[in-house]
Amino acid sequence: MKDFVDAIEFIFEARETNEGVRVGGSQFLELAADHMWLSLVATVIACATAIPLGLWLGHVGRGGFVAINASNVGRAVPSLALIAFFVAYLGVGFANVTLALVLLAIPPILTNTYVGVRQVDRDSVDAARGMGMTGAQTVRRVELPLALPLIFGGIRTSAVNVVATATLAPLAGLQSLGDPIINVSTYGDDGRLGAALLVAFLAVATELSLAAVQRASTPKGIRRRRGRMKQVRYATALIAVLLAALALAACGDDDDDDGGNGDGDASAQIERNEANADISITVGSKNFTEQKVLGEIYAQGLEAAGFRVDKELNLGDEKTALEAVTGGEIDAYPEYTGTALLSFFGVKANEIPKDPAVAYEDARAGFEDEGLVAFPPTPFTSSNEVGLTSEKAEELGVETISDLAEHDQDLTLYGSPECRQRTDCLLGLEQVYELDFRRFVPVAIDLRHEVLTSGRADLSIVFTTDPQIQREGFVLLEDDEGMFPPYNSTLVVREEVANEAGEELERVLSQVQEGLTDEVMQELNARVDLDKKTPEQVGREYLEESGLL
Amino acid sequence: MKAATLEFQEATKVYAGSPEPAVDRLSLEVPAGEICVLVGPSGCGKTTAMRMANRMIDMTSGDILLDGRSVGERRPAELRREIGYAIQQVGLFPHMTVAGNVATVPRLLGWDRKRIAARVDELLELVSLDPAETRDRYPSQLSGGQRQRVGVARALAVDPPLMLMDEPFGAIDPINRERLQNEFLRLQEEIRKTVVFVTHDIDEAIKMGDRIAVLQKGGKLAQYAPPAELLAEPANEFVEDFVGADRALKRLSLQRVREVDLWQAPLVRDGERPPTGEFDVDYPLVVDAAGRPVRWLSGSRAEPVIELDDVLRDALSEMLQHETQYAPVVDARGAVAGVLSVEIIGQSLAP
Amino acid sequence: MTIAQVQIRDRSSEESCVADNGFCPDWIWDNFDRYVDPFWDHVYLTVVAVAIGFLISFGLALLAYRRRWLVAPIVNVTGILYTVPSLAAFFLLLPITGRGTTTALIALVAYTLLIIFRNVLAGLDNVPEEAKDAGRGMGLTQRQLLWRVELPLAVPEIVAGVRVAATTTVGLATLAFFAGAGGLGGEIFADINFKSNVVTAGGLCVLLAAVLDLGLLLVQRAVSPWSRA
Repeated sequence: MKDFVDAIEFIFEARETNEGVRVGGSQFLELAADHMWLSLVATVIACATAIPLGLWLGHVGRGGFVAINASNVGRAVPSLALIAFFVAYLGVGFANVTLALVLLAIPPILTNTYVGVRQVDRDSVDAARGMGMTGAQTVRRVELPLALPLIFGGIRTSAVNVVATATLAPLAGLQSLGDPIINVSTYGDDGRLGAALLVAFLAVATELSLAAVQRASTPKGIRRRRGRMKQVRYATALIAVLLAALALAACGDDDDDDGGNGDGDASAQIERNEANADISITVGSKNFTEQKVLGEIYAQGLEAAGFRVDKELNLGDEKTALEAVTGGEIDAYPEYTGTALLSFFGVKANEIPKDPAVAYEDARAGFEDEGLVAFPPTPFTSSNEVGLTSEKAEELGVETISDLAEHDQDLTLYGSPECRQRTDCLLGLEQVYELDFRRFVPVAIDLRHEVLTSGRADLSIVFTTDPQIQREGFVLLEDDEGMFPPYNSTLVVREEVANEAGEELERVLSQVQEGLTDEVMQELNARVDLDKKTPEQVGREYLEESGLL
Repeated sequence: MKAATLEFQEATKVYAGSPEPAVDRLSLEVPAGEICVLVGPSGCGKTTAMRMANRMIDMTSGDILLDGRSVGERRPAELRREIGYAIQQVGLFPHMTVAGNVATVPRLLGWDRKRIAARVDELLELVSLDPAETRDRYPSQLSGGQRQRVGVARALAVDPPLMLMDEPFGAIDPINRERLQNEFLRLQEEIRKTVVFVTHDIDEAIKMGDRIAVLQKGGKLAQYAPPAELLAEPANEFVEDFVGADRALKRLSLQRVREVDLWQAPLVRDGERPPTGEFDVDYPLVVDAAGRPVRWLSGSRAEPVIELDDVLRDALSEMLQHETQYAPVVDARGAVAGVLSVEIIGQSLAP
Repeated sequence: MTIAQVQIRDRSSEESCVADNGFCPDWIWDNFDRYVDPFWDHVYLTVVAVAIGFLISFGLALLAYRRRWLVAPIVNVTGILYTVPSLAAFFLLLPITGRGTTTALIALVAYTLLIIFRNVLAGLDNVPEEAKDAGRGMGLTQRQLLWRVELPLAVPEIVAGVRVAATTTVGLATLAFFAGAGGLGGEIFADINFKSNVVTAGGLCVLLAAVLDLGLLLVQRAVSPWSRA
């Protein structure tokens, strides 16, 4: 219950996140406006396409099979797949998403228009022709008005579908109310719930208003009289539903455990210790490739050592992961020293130690206060970097980040949603380098390279261990002011579990981590991102090829 | 084959909010094995009255006795399983085959499968449908006439003592309607059920009914009598109007030529001399060796030739068409049995 | 202590179907098993959601058939459940029922209610009046009439509603992974850029929808031979 109250507050009150980014309140309004604009454009285009076509087909009585089954086929294609398909084949952008939404919206309108015209009383049409009306006049004056109720019914269905699917627009790099839902980091749970409430509200509002239009458009002669009680009933029903939902307050989580899928085979190097079998460890990870691979490596390694391991990978951003581990949902996850210092322990970017060892010690101390044990870090470091295509770099003539100062007004930067508020990201670029970009666009982390290759982004925030850099020939600008801190990965474990597991844990971890150099990490990332293997496969490959399994 | 008696005792139905009753103290008795036709203009309550008999509509007051037992005593569903029910639109179940439809009530009563199958075939033959061909068809595959027959078969399924039929032939074209009517009458001669038959068509009523109950607007019984009596002596102006100004002609439909006294004419073989003696008709009729009429001696053709089984009305119609006053009547073998004249027909109408 | 070495490949001049992000049948063939579990998750979600939705809607429709005043409130409530986008619904439910299959099922079931309810009712309403009159006149009780005449005749329309519900649910279940319930959507989301992945996962969804649709159509044909006569 409290969650809902918080969420509603979020909608109405703007607030500032840790690093001064405005979210909620009027910013939500902006998102809602984007959302409805996108929906409106898509629906209007769909109408402009489908209605004339449907009118014509219905008038001449042809193409019925296609017109009617268009809806059946359209229903079967999941909206997520449609958007994904367009992103994969056409890339991100307003036009592409709109196109996908238009395709989604056309079938119901087409089918309803066609059926609406067909079901017009044939005698009326006959009489019209007999009176000397041309085909077009018949359509305009007889068939269209009589078909209007059904046509509006189709528009209604489509509009609600489009509003619902526009929630997925962030997957294609477009802002909408789906932002807080899909990219939950910046907004938090409250923001996500608030956005969900807003989307639901907008969908219902769309439905009700179009229903009213539908009723108003019904020619008076064929209108059936309904009591005005309908609006009252809707309201009472809505209240009833909300009350029922609150009354449901079921307890407990219903976690879907993926279940460990480890080998269990006796290992060459990692020795299985039966004593570890009493200890269960749930390993989590954040939501990008390197994290998933690390999570797999740790999980499989520990399992080989005899621990009982569960995996909860792909949780979300760092805040989500920290919440999960302090809350007990997971027992461990790999975090980066730099990230921890910046996001958790309030250290300013220019104050972070450049020495990885010192950075680790500071991070470890910080985690200790949270009841977490940070184990010694990996050899590799994976920093944020500002990347751009080699062509762009040549064009601008830049080699370092400072060089951007001459051009920053003309450039767009793409980054993850949380980048906006991180001093090892956009915020730091603004503060340390005093850069003021023309536009910052938040996209899902997975898209950080695509936006460069497609030309949408001038600059993108990438990671040093990204395999795409080598492959695409991206240029990484030199961090001449030393803004980006070191990011070695350290496994952060809950104190109780660490104590329970004892020395064994530390030993296995150092065995597993030892081979993770910069190069190796990049190779492992490449196997997932470029060869399209699963993180699980790659994790196992690493352990096997390193002779640990 | 059992048949029950049906008695309406001051049966009344008043709908809430309506000033006049739909059925007003209807009292009549239908003897076992007879067809009682309820006839009247639309809105006279004839269908309501019929539906009170099987409690599809419940009476406001009065009683209806089936074989002496009040229908109100029985539970409706139970009561209805003992009464055959055939309506104008037939109401066959589209999702069941013909056999399935006919077997509905037997199944409800728990008959075993073999008995049901045998009964279905029996009934289909009774209504002149080939069981092998129609048994497994669906209603949508039948013609209107076939559906009606299946409806009747279904109503007869458990050999009910009473049949209620609401304009069963109303939705059929005239040609097939006549056929169905004749077939039903033939059937009735075999099975002799008590039937309450509702129609708005006075001609159908006269043809089908052993007794006719004419109902006026407001559900009042105007007259309850056998057809001949109804036509000869209408009880009031309403009935008179209802049966029509041509009731005299209608009465002629009720009589056959064999029932009247025919005149005799001298019969003569070709070439021979006519016999002498007293005859009703003076014009000799030439016949052949078998007695079949050839022509009148005067030369005019011996037409029309009337059969003993013809109804008087048709005979009169034919005679008028041939513009003749006299016509020879032949028996089953074709031999002359007498001569029919317009006068005779006129006399038959005399009270 | 490390004996073996991880092999590192030079990828700067790599050309392959996968690297070029094309449509790669080989890759699909090799990696097909990663779609198997999500596929069965998807099947489970769809079938269970539609089954539960059907039971609830069917019961509600039978109730409302005899008590017409119930129709409007039921349609209004299920209408709202239908209008609320499923993605939003998943997240609205999260605080109440937590992550997992249950949450996803609740939202998916809610979505099917209006469609099936309306169709069951419409099917029953379309039973010819004279068939009902004849049935009652022949001595069928209210309940016998319902189960032996009205419901069998309503089957085509009911199944049509279930078909629509099933295909729509397949589509919605792709979002179920947001609620922590697995399904093919998770695979799509995992690599939304990779064409082969999107086409395979999306294609499996469409395939599942088609199979369910056709299967239900065949069931309907088998159960109501009279509609084809």
